[in-house]
Amino acid sequence: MDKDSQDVHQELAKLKAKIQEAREQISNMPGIESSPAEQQQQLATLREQVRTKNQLLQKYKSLCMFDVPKAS
Amino acid sequence: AETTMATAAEKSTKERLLCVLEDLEVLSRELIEMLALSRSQKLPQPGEDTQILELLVQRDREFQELMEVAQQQGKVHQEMQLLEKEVEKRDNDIQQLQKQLKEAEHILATAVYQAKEKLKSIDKARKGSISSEEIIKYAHRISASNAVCAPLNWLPGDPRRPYPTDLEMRSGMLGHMANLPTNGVNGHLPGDALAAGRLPDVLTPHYPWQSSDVSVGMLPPHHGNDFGLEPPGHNKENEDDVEAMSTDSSSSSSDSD
Repeated sequence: MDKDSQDVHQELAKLKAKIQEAREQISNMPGIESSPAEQQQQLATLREQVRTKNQLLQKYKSLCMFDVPKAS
Repeated sequence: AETTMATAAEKSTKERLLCVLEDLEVLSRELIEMLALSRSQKLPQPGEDTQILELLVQRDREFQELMEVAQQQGKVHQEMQLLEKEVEKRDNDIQQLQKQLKEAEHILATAVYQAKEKLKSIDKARKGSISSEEIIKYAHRISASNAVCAPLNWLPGDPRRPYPTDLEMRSGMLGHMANLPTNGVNGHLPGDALAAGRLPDVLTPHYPWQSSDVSVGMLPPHHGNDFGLEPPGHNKENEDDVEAMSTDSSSSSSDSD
């Protein structure tokens, strides 16, 4: 009985350690700070930002009416 | 149930994972303890272990599903990081462009300002253009006819006074500068009016100094006192001229002997 209970305690400690390890791993996992829906929203925002900024740059590129003298 | 779903949806995946993990820990421990106890004692309620086991399996399944979601989110996270880098790059490009545009604006603004100034001075020159002929004529008149001193036989009332007279000085640019706030008359006088030593009748009533104190003007009044400042070495002839030219009897030149 004593031996059993010791074994049980040991197993429980092991389990606790494992769970703790899992917790740490989860804490270190990237990109799970938000829910999938929120993340998708953020992703969409970022894509939109890149698209807008690309458009803006493209617009100014095509607008360029004079050559900028290269600094020598 | 809907509210729980809503809060679950709002909760981050990490929180949910940790929550399920907590459940797993509690359930596993309970199960282990229960199994350990069951060796020596009878179970308090038969079937409770299977219930816990079922819960454990259910939580485990949930955990696995969440792990899948977390892995997907990890991939999305990578993509987002790439996009963030891209955004940063574009931001730098835009800032660079903005800097260049600002520089261009500055250069253009300077150029435009200088061009405007040039146009202004061109316009001014055009508006105030005087024929060189007229200037030469005026210069000639000044130098040729009693410009420096009055004729020897000058008497009060003789219009052939030295040029320019007090009135003419005041109607010129210098005189106008001293009377700027009330000045509305062009500084140029026709050569004829200057030559004759009088002003056109149209202009005469508008001159501000006529009603105000004479000493306000930029130039001192053409009085004998001015000649008194001359060094006392001058000859008699000049003295006579001065005496003759001066309309003021308080001339100090006669005291110099």
